[in-house]
Order: sequence, then C-alpha cells, then structure tokens
Amino acid sequence: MCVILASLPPLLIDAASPRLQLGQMLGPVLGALLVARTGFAWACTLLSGLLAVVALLGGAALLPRRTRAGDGAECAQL
Amino acid sequence: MSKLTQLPRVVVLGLVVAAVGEMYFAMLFPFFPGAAIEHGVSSTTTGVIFAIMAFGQLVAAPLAPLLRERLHVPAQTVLLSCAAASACLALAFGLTDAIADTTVFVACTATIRLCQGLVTSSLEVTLTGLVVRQLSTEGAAHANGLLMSCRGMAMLVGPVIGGTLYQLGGYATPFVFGGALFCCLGVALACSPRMADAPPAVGRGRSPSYLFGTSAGKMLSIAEFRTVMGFQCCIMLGISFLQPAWEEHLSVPPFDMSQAQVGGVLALGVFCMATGAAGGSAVVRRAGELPVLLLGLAVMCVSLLLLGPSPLLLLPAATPSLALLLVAVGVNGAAVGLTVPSGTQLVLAALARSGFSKEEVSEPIGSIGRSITAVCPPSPPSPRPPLPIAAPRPPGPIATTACVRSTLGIPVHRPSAPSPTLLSLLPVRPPPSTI
Repeated sequence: MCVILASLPPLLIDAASPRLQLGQMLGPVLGALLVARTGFAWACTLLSGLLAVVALLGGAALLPRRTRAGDGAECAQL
Repeated sequence: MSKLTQLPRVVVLGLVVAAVGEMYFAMLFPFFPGAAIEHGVSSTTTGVIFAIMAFGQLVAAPLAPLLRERLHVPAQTVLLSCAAASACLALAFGLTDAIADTTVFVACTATIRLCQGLVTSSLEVTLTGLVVRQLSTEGAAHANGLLMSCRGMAMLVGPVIGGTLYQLGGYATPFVFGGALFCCLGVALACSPRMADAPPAVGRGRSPSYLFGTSAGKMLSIAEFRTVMGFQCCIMLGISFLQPAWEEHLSVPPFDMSQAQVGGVLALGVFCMATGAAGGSAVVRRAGELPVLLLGLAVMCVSLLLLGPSPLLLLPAATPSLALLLVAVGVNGAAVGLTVPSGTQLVLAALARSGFSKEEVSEPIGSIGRSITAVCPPSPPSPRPPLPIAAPRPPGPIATTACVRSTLGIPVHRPSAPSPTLLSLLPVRPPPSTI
C-alpha cells in the first residue's frame, strides 16, 4: 500500500504536465462524440484501434532509431 | 512518516488546498454526465464541459505567477481570493440544476468550469511557489511529494464521495459540500498569521517567451521527443475519453449502478493505475522503457476491447458482465500506470542524448515545474533555482525509493554540486555482455 501511495506523486507530476492536459482536453470531447454516435462498445473498439495504430507507428519510428543508437554505443565501446 | 504537527504551516495549508481542490474536481465524474443529459445536453457537449476546465488550468498555470509578479499582489491575497472564488463557483454550480433552458444550462456550467480551472490553477501555482520559496530544497522536495500524494488520495475518494452525496441529497449536495470545504479553507487562510511573502523577483523584464519554456522549441526539434510526447498525449486521451460516458453506461442495465458505485469503479481504475506505476518502475529497469511503453499500450488496447466489450470479439450473449467490466477497468488502469513513467523516462533519455541538463528539461516536463520556474525566477549568483519538483519526496524510505525510481530517474538537486547533465543522472543499466 505504501509503495502504491508512493507511486502517486510521479504519476500526478505527469498528469499535470501540459502534454497530458492536451490529451485531457481532447479526450472527453472525442469520447462523448464517439459514444453518442456509435455506442459505448464501438467507441471503446475505435479507441483501442487508435491506440494500436499509435503504438505501431510510434514503435516503428522509435525502434530503428534506438537500435542505431545502441549500435553506436557498442562501436564506441569497441 | 512525517507528523502533521511538525510540518511547516505553508505545507499544511498546501495539503488542505490540494485535497479539497482535487476531491472537488473528481466528485463530478459519477453523476454530472447523467444530470446533464436530464437537462437535454448532448454527450458531446458534456464532454466539452468536462474538457474546458483542463483548458482553464493550462492557461492559468503560466499566467497566474506572471500577473502576480507584475501587479505586486501578495500571495496570501491571491490564496484568499481564490478560495472565496472557488466557494462561490461551487455554490453557483449547485444552482444550475434550477435552469430549465438547455442552452443557458450549458453556457452557465461551461463558464463556471472554465473559471474553476483558472481559479484552482492559480491557487495551486501560488501555493507551490510559496512552498518552494519558504523551504529549503530538501524541504520543498519533501513537501511536493506530500502534496501530490494528498492529491492522489483525494482523487481516489472524490468520485465515491460525490456519488454518495448525490444519492443522498440530489444534484446540489456535492456542490454545497464542495463550497463549504472551500469556505472552511478561506476561513483557515484568513485566520492564519500572514505568511512571509516571496522575496522580490529578479528578471521581471524577461521576454514573454519564457511562458512556453526556453528549451521547449529545441526539444520539439528532436524526433524521438516528439514521438513519445505524441504517445503520452494519446494515453491521456485514452484515460479521459470515457469520462463523460461512464455514468450513462453504468447506470443502465445490465449494471444498474448507483452514482456511489460508479464512483467506486472509477476509484478502482485510479488505484490500479497507481499499482501499475509502482510495479512499472521495476519492469522498466529490467526490460527497458520502450518495450514497457509498447506493452502498456498493447494491454490498454486489449482492455478497451474487453471493456466495451467490442462486438469484434464475438463474446457470448451473457456479456457485458460486471466481472469483465471490473477486470477491464483494473487492467486498463494498470496499463496506464505502466506507460506513464516509462514514457517520461524515455523522454528524458532522448533529451539526455541530446545534451540537455535537468534544469532545461524541467520546464517543458511539467506545468508544475514551469510554474515554479515562473514564480521563482533565476536569481544571481546561481543561474537557476533548485529543482525540487524533479524528485518530490513522498513520506517514508520505501516511498522515496519508489518515487525516485519511477519519476524521472533524477535525484534531488544538490545546490552545492555543479549543474550536472541529465545523462549523468539517468539510471545506469548493465552493459550488454561482451565476449
């Protein structure tokens, strides 16, 4: 329990940061719009799809970059 | 664990402000969407009413300290005015139930929410500034940890209290309760001895560009930084996406939940989020930030499919069931808890590789950090103020360890030490095994 409570501060630091507030501003509007149009189940499905696309695109963008950085570090060590 | 009586007065006041503000903010979730629908408001407009408070907070956080400095307003005056304004706004919100016309209802509630965002943000920024200026670096770090823990606790209990009060006394009761809390806060502030105001600020003539953080432009030019920022923005979108829809979904068959029970479901999500963040730091150390971030996003996707439940899953007719709902909410919360700290560490690692110092990073990382930098502008001879927000200290040794690990990977800044680069402060991983 102590550890869980302790994890709240860093979590809330992030919750208060501007990049997340942007998501917090867009989220309710987009969510309300989709739930009203498509229903709760399909809105969840669409959000899941959006996050999957973001994860795939972001992962594809970050993985090669990090691999190159790792290779660079190993070359520097050698 | 610090004893409350041993804490400085400004910190105790800060704890009360944080608890009251956050609890009031979270009290609305279980009942307001349903009440808005009863007034003929569409779900989309309800979403806008929810979102407009975050907009107010975003605007006020950097502007409030700037205006206070320019107009030479004592901090205690700001605190008293904000507490009084918050009480009036809460009571005014309680009266909106009497408005019959939908357009007037929407206009009034949206305006009140916007004003609440501006006022609560000003209150918190001013108080955080006082804490930072009146305490030592270590003390301020400790105080910020306590403040944020207090916010977390209030976020856990707020929905339950809001839902219960609504059930007991109707629409106005939670707002009257919130207004009474803010009134008590105002009385406590008025009765307390005058707090020493902040020393004169240096650098009042700075360019307004500091509002947006001097380093933000440079950071945005880094592709990895932009990508992870996009990730985190989408994660927060995922969290707040269903805020206006929860009550409507859970208060009808097959769930038939009361507002208090809806509050309990939301509190479960927050609890699991905190649990995920606590366990996430250990997983990040073993597996790395990016795999954990991607894993968290994948789990979020699956949990959202179960939460619906998605028609694509072709589940049996008995669904949606309560057990599935609770599992999905819990797993979703835990997944969010995994993604947020790992995303922050990823951002810091990207910035560290580009040679940024932790002071430069602090401004765009958090609005709290930005506000502190605005309230406490640089004063000679040290070019930048200490950065207690980098690693706020929650109470207790276990808490401190978990906080430091899962926050930014940055220890509390030591004023005597030279400004280190961020890279030197990031957690060290064992090198890959070489033959």
